[in-house]
Amino acid sequence: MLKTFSLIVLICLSLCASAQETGRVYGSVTDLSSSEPLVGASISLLDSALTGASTDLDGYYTLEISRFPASLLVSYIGYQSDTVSVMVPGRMDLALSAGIRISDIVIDAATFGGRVEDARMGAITLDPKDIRLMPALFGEVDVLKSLQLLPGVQSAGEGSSGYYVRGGAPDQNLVLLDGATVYNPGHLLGFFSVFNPDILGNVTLYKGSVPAHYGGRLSSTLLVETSSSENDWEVNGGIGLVSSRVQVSGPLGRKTGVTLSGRRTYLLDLAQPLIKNTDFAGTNYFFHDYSLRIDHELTERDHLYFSSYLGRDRFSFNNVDNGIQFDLPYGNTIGSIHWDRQISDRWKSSLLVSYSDYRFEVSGAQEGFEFLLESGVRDLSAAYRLLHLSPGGGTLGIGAEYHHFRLQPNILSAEIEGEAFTPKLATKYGQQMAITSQYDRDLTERWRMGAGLRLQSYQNVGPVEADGSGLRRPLEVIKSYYYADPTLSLRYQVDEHTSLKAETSITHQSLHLVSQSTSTIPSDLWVGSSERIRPQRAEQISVGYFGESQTAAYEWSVELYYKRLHHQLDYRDDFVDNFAEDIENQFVAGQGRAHGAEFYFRKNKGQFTGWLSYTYSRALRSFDEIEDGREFPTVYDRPHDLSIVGIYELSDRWSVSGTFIYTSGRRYTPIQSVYFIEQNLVSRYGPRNSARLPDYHRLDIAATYTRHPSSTKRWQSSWTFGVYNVYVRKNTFFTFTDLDVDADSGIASASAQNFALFPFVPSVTWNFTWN
Amino acid sequence: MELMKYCIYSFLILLLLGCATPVEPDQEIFIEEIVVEGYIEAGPGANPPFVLLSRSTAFLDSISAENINEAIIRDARVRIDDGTDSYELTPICLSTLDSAIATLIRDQLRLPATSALDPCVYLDVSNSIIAESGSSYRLLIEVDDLVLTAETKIPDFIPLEDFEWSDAPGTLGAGFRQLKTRISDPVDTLNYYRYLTSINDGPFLAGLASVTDDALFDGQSFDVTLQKSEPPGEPFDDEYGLYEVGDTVGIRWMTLDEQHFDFWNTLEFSRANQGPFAGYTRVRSNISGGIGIWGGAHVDIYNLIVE
Repeated sequence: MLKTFSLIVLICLSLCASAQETGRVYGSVTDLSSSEPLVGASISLLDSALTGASTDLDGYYTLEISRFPASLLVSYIGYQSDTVSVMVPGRMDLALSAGIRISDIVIDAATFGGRVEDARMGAITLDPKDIRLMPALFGEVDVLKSLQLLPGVQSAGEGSSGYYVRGGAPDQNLVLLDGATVYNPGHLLGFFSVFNPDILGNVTLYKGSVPAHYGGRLSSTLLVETSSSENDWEVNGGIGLVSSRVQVSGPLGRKTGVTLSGRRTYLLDLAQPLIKNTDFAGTNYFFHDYSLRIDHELTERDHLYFSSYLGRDRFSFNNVDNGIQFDLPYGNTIGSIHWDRQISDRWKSSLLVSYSDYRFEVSGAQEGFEFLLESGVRDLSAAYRLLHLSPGGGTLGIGAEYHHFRLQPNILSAEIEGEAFTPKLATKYGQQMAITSQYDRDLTERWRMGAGLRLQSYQNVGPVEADGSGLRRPLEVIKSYYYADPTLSLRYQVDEHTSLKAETSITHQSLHLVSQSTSTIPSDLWVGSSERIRPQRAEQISVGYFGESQTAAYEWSVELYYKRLHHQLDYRDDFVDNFAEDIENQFVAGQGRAHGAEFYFRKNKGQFTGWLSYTYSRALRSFDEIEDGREFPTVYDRPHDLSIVGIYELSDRWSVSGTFIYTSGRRYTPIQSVYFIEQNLVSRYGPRNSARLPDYHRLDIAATYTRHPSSTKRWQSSWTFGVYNVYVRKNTFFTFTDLDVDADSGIASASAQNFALFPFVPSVTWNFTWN
Repeated sequence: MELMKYCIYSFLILLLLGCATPVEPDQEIFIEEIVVEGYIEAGPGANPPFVLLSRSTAFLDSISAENINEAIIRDARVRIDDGTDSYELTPICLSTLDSAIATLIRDQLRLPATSALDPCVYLDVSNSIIAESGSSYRLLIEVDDLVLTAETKIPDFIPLEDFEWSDAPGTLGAGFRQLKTRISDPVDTLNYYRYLTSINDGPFLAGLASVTDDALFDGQSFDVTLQKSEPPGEPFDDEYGLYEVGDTVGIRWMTLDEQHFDFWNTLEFSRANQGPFAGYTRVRSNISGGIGIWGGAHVDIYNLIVE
């Protein structure tokens, strides 16, 4: 539903205006209930479909119209589309209401038109409703795993929610939850993402040039926005084999809305009766997360909202027999406050203050011996942005932001028989400041451009005891880096359904996640740039062809990219995990390059919808200290990556979906030979990542049954049945090597086995809604 | 609720049905290299200097005694240089020894009498090399037109103090004990330690983590638990690493130089670092032209009875 006051204004204006030949219509598209800007909403002429536009990151659009009056179709994923008459050029703010239930698989073709019209390429908005209909491991719907089905995005491994974008490492992906950085987006070693599907509002991924105010990472930015409350109280949730979840949302008075949700796993809780009478009584694993969002309309022009998230994984191990106890908790604590203000018709401001804290701990004890290993990252930040909608139709965003980081390496403390060993490694601190500007506008009827500049600094600051220079005071600067990150995107509209795009960018990254594992794990460390570690840098260029059918029922794209990476970090070949050594001494810096071609074809309309995505890519690195400087492939150098997604609405009650994935196998470092030392076999490794695991492929299916799809009752429920890995493909999860010497027979054996997970995983989930 | 429990248990069983399939090794990547394992020791527990030479072998499902015998190098020229004099070592193979000495060596190497293995060792048969703390020793090997070199230094000795037997943790009972001792680490010097254990005059064995540096306890005097070294492949049961009351225990305690420590540290980490997310670690070597170790150490042996 559109805001009626806009129409009234327009009707009044139309009384005193005669029809015009050409003119520009501009304004914003927002969510009707929360007034939040809708990013990527589509506005197009209804009668001729000759002209269209999509909203930018701030929800603004500009549309050149050749003849007035005209009718516009306004649409957005997950919202009710609407039409509006435009009598004269000028500002027109629009609002759409969310109104599609999970069972309503209505994907309006026009919602995808933005990919053709937008100057920026590599930006994709995911519909949470689509995500909920796709098959999922254990029935646990996961936004990060859905992302992996898009071109240019690869999975980090079997069942993992970690992802790689265009040949970049996992730490080069910025994940923002309502504007606050998420430093570990995975639960249970990454098998589940931290995002409860119920909280999802808009989900947008930028894998090409990222708008200037989202800089700071080399490969991608994922914006996850939580949904705000509706006008009525609503309770929804689900019960599955692994976890259950519930969300309550509704109004608190006329101006305030609240949304509270929670989720907890219980697989091992239910297994406790089996464990209770064994030596492992007390051993358990679970994760839980909670989120709270409060929206408040301060005035007609001021919208305030608070968003928070708390998630914890907890693994407890207990062995009565030998008295060993372990406790391993980790998780994110995140909070943000947003104040959006409509200063005038053309000016808008937004203030964001956020807090993000990721902590990892392991503590253990065994008679007279205790230890505690702690690490983590804390990010306190504030960002202010001014947005201006110029009379010429361009949008200009300027802003400033500040981050203060607390980076704690693995700090080990221990006590043996009452004797304490204190840690020698110190927590490090950093601060990052940036001034950003982003300008987007049409140059001509066919050309549109977007230009961004991010001037950024990173400083390694005190308090710290620096080598040889005594104590440093808090915020005293130890080392500074300054750099500029420019981006430029151009679009040429070939015709109303086809466009060509090109973009280039330079980006820098000051924080680095160092991992010796082949995937990301909770104990991986974030380290800041310092005197020894320079910020990472990437230069990327990409070109693309975007098209859609006449009715926009089909869309397709081809994107080519080439990326150069500098100051990449990796562990030395002879790395040994040493908690007493500064982590900065344990890795080396080098170069990298990545290139690829991404193909995407999507059907948006009809009973059957879905997409096919294929990517050919390479990801290579070179380090002076590794392989004598020779270039080698990364573990995620998987040239072929194919995803096919289909959703079919059989009837009002039944919908079925399936996903098929085929990728080249992951790279690994093979054993080149074996030799004897102290009568035992030792492995001699070959060139880094010179071998490849068998190719990965898998088919998943799901069916959703809604008992009363057209019911007007307040209570509704649905069942989702799924099977992960239908044809029991034994995809290699990891390789285990066994070197054995039998002294009696004098025979040695060297063998390796590939281990596969999840051969055939059925699931059932019951979802409900009450409103 | 009962139905839900059955569902969950069935689900758990399905989840645990991950399966393993053997990997066919890729023989094309095999590169043969010369492997050196040589030690020179000082101190009351020192062995005479010796060197074992072999060639690395392909990653095979089964490496027979014949394969191993073929890999052993028996015709190299091996010398040790202490900076003043050069001493040539003599190759001695098991098959060339008289049966009494051969049996003794077989027992020490845990080789059964039926074993077809014929190990060879390069020895200072005339006992002319007297290794000392603080001295460096250079190893020179000539084999098949190749020259391999290495250098090691024997560090000063830092003894163990105050041995104490204490109850085994957990509920294992009084039949098993753990060994605690004390190290007084010197201040401001980098020190590297290694230990092996022997039970009832058996061979000295290294555990899964036989080395440590002093990074965590530099300059401190501290208690440490020395686990019994278990043979590779021994299951991690409740008795793992514990000493049985009544046994005779030998502790071979060594101080190493940095390169010697790096070799064992990377080797042991590489062995342990396996699993779903593990990367790999290349074993460091101080051998120029080959792989392996030429290690200097200062050694003492402590003999104890488990009480």
